[in-house]
Amino acid sequence: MRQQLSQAIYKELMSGKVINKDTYEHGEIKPNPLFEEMLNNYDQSYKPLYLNIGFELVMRNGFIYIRSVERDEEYSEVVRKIQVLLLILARGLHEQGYQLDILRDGEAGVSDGIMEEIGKGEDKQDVMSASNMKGEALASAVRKNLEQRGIAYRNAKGNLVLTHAGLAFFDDVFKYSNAEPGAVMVA
Amino acid sequence: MIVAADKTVMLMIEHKHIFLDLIDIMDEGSAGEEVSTRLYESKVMKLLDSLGDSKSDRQKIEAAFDVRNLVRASLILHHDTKRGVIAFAPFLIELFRHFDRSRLRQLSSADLEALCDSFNDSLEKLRDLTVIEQGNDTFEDELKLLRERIRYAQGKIKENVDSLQGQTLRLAEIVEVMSLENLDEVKQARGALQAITRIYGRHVLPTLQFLNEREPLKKGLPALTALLRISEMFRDAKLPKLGQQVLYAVASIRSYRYDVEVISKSLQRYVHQNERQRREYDQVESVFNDLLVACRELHDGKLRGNLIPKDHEVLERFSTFKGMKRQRADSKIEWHNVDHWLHLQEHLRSSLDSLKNTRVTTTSVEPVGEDVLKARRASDVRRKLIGRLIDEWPVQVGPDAHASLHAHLAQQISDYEIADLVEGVSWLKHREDIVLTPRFQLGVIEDDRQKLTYYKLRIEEQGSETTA
Repeated sequence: MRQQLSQAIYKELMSGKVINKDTYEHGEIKPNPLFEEMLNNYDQSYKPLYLNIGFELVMRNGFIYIRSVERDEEYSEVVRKIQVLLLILARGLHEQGYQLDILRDGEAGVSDGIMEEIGKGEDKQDVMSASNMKGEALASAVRKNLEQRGIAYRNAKGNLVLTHAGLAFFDDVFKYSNAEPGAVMVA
Repeated sequence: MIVAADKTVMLMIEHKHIFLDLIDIMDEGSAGEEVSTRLYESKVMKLLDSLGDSKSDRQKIEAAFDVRNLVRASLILHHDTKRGVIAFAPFLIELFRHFDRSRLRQLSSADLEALCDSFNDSLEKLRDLTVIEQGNDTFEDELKLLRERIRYAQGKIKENVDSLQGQTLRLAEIVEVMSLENLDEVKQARGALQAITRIYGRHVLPTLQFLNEREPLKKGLPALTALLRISEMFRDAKLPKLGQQVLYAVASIRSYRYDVEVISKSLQRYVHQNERQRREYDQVESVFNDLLVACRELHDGKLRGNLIPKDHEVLERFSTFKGMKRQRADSKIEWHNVDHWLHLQEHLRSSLDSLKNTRVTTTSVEPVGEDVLKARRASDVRRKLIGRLIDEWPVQVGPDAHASLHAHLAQQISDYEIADLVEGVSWLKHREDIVLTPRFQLGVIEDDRQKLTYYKLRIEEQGSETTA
């Protein structure tokens, strides 16, 4: 367990961010040392450490985050906003004629202009209003709820691209839709 | 002015782009080989405009490409003035198709079925003959027909393969060079993917079926099997040379199977890509519509103060971020960097203090209990045992080191427990002949008492390349 990395991990997780497998630095995608550090010491150090301070480390495919062991509110305001914004982006991109791959490709990404167009849709505004983001510009909501939490990042062009965490959400969406009707995904 | 047919054809070839465009339009539409007269004339007008001031060239082309001249020269076979359509002579269309193999026509299921039927027909007719010998008129007629049919099939299959290769290359290029940010290119690529899927389903798969000698058919035999039967028939009728010729024809047609299989494999990636994109579109639309319905059910027309419940069924479907920390807040603990100067000061202070203190104090050390020592010894023995077992383990390359080791230790240690596995993995990491590579996938091993959640490690030989 490396002290400096452990401190950086604590800071990230406590501020509600996820730790992704990869990190985007200076126009390049690189393995995230924080993720590797956690991976190498997961059972021996990090899992008991966070359990002792009341958090459960949640390790998903390509990213890690924490949740309270009390499990008082599993679907919080934060989760609602994240899910709603990701769905608005995906639906809006399809409606505009883009492929979802634009959000996956680090070289491409979604520009603020495209987001502005998506945000103009009446249905998108209704969904944002019902998710406590009334009147907020889509790009601004995305910055606060996706970028600052490590669910998306801006590439060298300044376009929005999803991290492993953002991509994992769509994996779940497609898995759910392929499952039996009425099936419920279990963590 | 009347322009002779040969001169007109030469001019047509010289300005073939007009006719290639018209062929594309014919192929996209459902009107067969008919094309709108107005469309044809507008293309000719554009060509005339592009010729500039060369009056003689303009006049020559205007006269040659005039619909009445083309009808007179039998280059247009049908001119329907009421419907405003023209149909060029089929040989002309075929000629232009051969200039660009991507425009060659692929064989449809119906075309292939017709080829297959023709061979079955020859087989039936030859079977019905009482005399199979050269010199017999009826036999010679059937033989001539069979040869024509074989030649026609060979030509059509070759043309089909050329067309499939040309079309798929052209379409694949559109998909490959597409920029995800360019809307026009994305739309073009989507069209290309749909065209590829259509070609795959309507032309590639039927061609593979046609070339499969064991394909069960509702009616008759597969084409190549019918030819093989004809060859056997010739051999039995003491006509080995003819039998051999038919066998060569079978081998020639069969040889295209490899080319079509290569095309099929290269197209499968695009077919899956198209399928995936279509599925993604449907699924996102479905979930978003559920969300929208949930939102609109709430409101009185203005969505005043009505928020969709955080645990609404639509949101609860996905557990990706379940329980994520609610508030984004900076951590209250500030971790300062290590200050070596302060460390030294503190060390000197404490060391100097202890040096100044001349009084020697002795403290008695509580002897460690016998039980504790026993437990420590037992623990050491067990660790050594695990270490030895790991060193002697004929480890094999595999996707999950924990699972393999769990199986090995459970077999070797009578009172094995999952805690031993954690110890074992740390020993395994020291083996020099292997490398453990993280796979970023969670694994779980559990028994009645213990449960281990771990990140999977792939066992690889030292020096081998990783592909994970």
